[in-house]
Amino acid sequence: MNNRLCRPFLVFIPFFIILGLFQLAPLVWVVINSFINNDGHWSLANYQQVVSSPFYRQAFTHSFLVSIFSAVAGLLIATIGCASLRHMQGKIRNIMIAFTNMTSNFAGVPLAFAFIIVLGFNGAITLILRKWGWINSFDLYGTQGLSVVYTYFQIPLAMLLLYPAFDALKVDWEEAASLLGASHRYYWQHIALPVLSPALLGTFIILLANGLGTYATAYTLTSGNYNLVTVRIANLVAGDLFLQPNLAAAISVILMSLLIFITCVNQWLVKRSYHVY
Amino acid sequence: MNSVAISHLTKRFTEKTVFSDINLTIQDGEFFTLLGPSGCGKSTLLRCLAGLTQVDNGTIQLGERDITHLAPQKRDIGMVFQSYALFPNLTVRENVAFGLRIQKLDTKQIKQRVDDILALVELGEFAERYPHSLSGGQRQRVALARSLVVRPKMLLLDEPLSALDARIRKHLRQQICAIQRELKLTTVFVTHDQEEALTMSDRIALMNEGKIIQCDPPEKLYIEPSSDFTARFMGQYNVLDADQAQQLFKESYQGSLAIRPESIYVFEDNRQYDERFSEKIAATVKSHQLLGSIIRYQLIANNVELTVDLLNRHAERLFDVGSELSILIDKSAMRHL
Amino acid sequence: MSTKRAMAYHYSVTCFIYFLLLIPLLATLVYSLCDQWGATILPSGFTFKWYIQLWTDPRFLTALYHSMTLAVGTLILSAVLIVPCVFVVFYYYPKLDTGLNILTLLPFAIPPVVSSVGLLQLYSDYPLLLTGTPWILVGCYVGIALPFIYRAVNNNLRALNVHDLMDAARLLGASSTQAFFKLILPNIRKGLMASLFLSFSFLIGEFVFANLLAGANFETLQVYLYNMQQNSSHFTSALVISYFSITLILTLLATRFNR
Ligand SMILES: Nc1ncnc2c1ncn2[C@@H]1O[C@H](COP(=O)(O)OP(=O)(O)OP(=O)(O)O)[C@@H](O)[C@H]1O
Ligand SMILES: [Mg+2]
Repeated sequence: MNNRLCRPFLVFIPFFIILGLFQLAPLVWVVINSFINNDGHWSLANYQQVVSSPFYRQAFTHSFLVSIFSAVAGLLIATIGCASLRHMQGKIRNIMIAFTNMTSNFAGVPLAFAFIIVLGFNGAITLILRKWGWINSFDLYGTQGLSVVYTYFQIPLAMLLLYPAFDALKVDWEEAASLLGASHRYYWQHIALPVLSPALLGTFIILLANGLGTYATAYTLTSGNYNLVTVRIANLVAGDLFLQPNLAAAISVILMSLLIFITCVNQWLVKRSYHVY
Repeated sequence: MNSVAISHLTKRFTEKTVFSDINLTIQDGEFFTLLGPSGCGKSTLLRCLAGLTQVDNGTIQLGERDITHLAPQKRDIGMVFQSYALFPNLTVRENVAFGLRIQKLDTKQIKQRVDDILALVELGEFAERYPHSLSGGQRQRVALARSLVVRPKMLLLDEPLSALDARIRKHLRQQICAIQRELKLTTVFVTHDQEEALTMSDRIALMNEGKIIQCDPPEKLYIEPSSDFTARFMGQYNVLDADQAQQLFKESYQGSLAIRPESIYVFEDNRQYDERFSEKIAATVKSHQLLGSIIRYQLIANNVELTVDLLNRHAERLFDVGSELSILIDKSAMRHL
Repeated sequence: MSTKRAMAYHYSVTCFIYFLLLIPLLATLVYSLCDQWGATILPSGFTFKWYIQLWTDPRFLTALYHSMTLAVGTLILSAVLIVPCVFVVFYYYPKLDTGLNILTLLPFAIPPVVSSVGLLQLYSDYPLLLTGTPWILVGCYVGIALPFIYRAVNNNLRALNVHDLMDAARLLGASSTQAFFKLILPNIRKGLMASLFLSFSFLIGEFVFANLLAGANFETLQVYLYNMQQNSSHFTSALVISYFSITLILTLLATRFNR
């Protein structure tokens, strides 16, 4: 009996070794070393340096600006898109979902290249827009540009995450509401959006985390010249100048703490919104 | 006056005509039932009345108004959905108040009317609960209250009881009827259950494949079916074609014949039978089925299969499969179709 | 809103969004197929030369080979490691499921850049000198594949009647291990394959670990792509399109397997 219950446990060993070595150990290293200063002593020096440096504060501001903007914009567009996608015929809908699936993979280096072609200084769309006089200067390599590119990869991800939640909306509800005199808008304000709110909040957090953690896209697009948290971290551990892994660890811990804090606020909001079960 | 006049109503989906040229009038305050097998177009007709489905042709008039192309919001029609369609993010009270809020009544008035209607459907104590914590029957009554509280000119009910178990169903049936009579509300009720239709309605329209086969008060529909579809659909009529009728009675018949299962009797020695009854016919029991107060037999008489309902009175009067007996048929209750 | 107008609205919204999503891809495709497209709105000179140049570049082929072997190797290892664990948790220790679930979310919650900080310090020295080798990527990529495989296997096991199946097999004389290989594995094969294809496209697209941990010593497709940015953008476009076609084919295969 004992043997029978113990043997299955053996399959965990290699699994946990790999996971421990490559997921947990680095995390533990980061947390511990963020509290160790250059002389090898316990201290908060790394944190002090991050907080007091305008340069690192700017990195956090930039990261959050771009991530929050792209998460909100992506969520908005995806919500409108999913609401309409539900009304498509089955076949068209399936093709579109498959396509969404595919584009959600289109991120990082190739995406940055594609955007340089389309929206770069001599990009086709930039030229069209400039010719029509819609824009004078569009800076793909600054806050503006990064926000657009980030939004681009947030949309398909948001649609994939949100679409199943829209199945929870019953056609009956809108019909019942309309018979009670509610306009389309009133229905969305008072029924559909509240029902969707847990899914919307949850998706928002994932998008935000996704935006904050993104490195490849920004790095390729701006060659590391735009000041973002991930770019800073990478530069401190693999840059050309002097390396400061412990400082990178402190920045990482701050980033993750902020993420955890936002997730908690989010959970609290989800709890406060209605719950079916 | 809230009578309804439907004329020449036609509805097509891309590949299928659901119904064409439907003509009906429903009286003010009438409890009108659409009865028919699954897929015959009852729900579609109801949704056309509500404005949830666009009609292709014909007109619908409610009172003095032509509402054919009116938006559902403007029709003053209440509807209870088969799935209840309660809003999950609102409490019972908020659900019921939904329509009143849109009408922008003041808070006190809304509270008063919601309390009144919840009392009417006996749900006062559940006002602050969410729909997911209610039983099926309770949800059904919330849905009813929600559509009644706005005082619609007409109430539509799409199989409101079909998802409930038999006991609650009976109780709710009576409750719906009582409320309808009290409010004198023009009501269209959809069901595929003939017993439900017979017990609740003032008038029944029997539908099949998008056509109205017969439209009559329940008694008439049951006793005087005008077609063999009606006869078969309403209470297990034995419908015999001319050949079978001739075989059974050994007389020649024209057209088909409908015999209700309860108008066939088993011959008893010590009883007098007048001229209403047919001659004695020998029959064999093929099978029997206990349906509570009655026993339903399948008999073979002169090679014709008959359904016969007998009251379940004495245990000793249970005929086993294979037993031989004689039957008499009440000819005055037979319908020539 | 009338039905017709509503439908027109829904169609235009959907078309617009998908058009937006398509623009960068289409532009890249056109770019990769033309000779010149500078400072004009329309391209000129249709050509396949960029593709020919790309697919005859030994460095590209090496990078492709690296990416492919790395992904396939990782996936085989992941399947071997993860599937038995998910099954054992499901069958023997259902209470541990929540724990495993949280563990699978870990790679999502920690940005790769952050893990890299620790990994670079931990494995750049004797005795575990792993950076600059594909082995460190294999270890990290198992974490990336984990959530996909876990989800798929878990869902499949839920749909199977595992306990009855195992009992029946054991009554017929099979050991638990035999029952797992002969009965459970064939039954979850489809879902597992689908999840492997999905993970494959993610692994092929991974850049951060590949660049920071292995870099030039083991150049993968993404790193090659990054290093080619000084080249003609027509050439990089051909590269992007080639890369994307590979992912597309795999996504299609994955949906096939999902049916
Ligand atoms: N939106 C639609 N598109 C195409 N066909 C439809 C649509 N709605 C209903 N139908 C078809 O119209 C016919 C009538 O449907 P309807 O829902 O009115 O039947 P019903 O009498 O209510 O049946 P049930 O008792 O099962 O509810 C069916 O054959 C159905 O397939
Ligand atoms: Mg119906």
